[in-house]
Amino acid sequence: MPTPAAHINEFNTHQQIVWSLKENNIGSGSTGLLLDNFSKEGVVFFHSMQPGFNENYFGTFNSVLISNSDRKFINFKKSFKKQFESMSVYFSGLTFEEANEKLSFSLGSLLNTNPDVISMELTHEKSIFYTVKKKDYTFFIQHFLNEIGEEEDETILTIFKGDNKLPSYAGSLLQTISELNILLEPASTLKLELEIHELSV
Amino acid sequence: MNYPSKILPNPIYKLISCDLSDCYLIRFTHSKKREDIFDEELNQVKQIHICDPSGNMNDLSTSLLGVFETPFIQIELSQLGKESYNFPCDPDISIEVPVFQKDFTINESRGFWVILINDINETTVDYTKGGIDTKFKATCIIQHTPMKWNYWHFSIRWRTEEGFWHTLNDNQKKKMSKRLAHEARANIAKFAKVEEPNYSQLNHSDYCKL
Repeated sequence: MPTPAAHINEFNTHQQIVWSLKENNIGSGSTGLLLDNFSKEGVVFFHSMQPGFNENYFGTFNSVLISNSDRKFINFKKSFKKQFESMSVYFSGLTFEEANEKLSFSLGSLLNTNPDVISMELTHEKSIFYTVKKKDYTFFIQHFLNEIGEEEDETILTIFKGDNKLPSYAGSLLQTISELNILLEPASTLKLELEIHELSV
Repeated sequence: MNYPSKILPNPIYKLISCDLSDCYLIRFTHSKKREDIFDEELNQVKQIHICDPSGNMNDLSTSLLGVFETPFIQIELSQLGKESYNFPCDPDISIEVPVFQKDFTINESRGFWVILINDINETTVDYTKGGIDTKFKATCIIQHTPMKWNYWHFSIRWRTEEGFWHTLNDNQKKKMSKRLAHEARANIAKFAKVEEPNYSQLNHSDYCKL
């Protein structure tokens, strides 16, 4: 098994990679979000989950190089696989790979907000339901997965500050994540990251 | 096992229209193990247990806790029982008592969540739709909807600017279905509990004819 450093050098030279640094990752052990446009699945993933050896390295990096965000991301991906297998009947028209790609984008974006607590569950309504808690806020985010070729996925955001309900928001995933981010970190670079990602695909 | 006949419609009963703010609604879950149905870290009911696949989040069935006690959530109608009893009805009809094994069984694996009516009743949903300057409003309404098997059946429904969601045509329903279903999930997740609360009984005059 190659060392992490050695493996980094094994990237295909034709691979298009976008690194986006986030201020709030300083000191977290994660250098940022890697958007790999050459990946077979085309998914967004963190740098410590490099293409081709995701599973092999799980454990090797454990508690040393994998940041909390990375670990959460990996654990959620595993949980998603389990949930999808038991609920695939409710996700007709979508393969696991397609659904997994959609999950990667919404999950990666939400983890980037550095939530205090986050959960992810699939619903019988062909959607991924996230609960995010940060500061006094509770956010419920439901990412409805449309089939490939259909209209853009709809994402709905319900917000509570304490027990008080704030106005909800419905829109595309990008719009909704952007709205969430404005509430949490008005000066965040997330929107810019997403725009960079859009430009690179 | 005898069916608790006190939860059936009764000629002396009327529709409940009093203030129920301090009352609780109860709904069954498919497991009674706390670790299955409750996320301790989030301190909330897991989504998968808020509603089963056959349920409709936009018109969610519950029961009013009180005369309807927590053990009654384990009553499960058989197919035959559903054909005879799983229908809305007037509160004051006479109805034959369901028969154990024929019309119903007891599903001991069932648990429950409860929610204080005051936490969700009259909750207004106010949506901004991304990229389009449109607003969407709906209000959560708790309605007494007696069923032949359960006088204490209540529905969590949504009143939109075009009328109650459940009365709209398919096209109108489709437009707002996702948002209302989401809103119902979010509100229940936020406020539902899995412990039996301290609850009071309604006064007889609140549900009995004078």
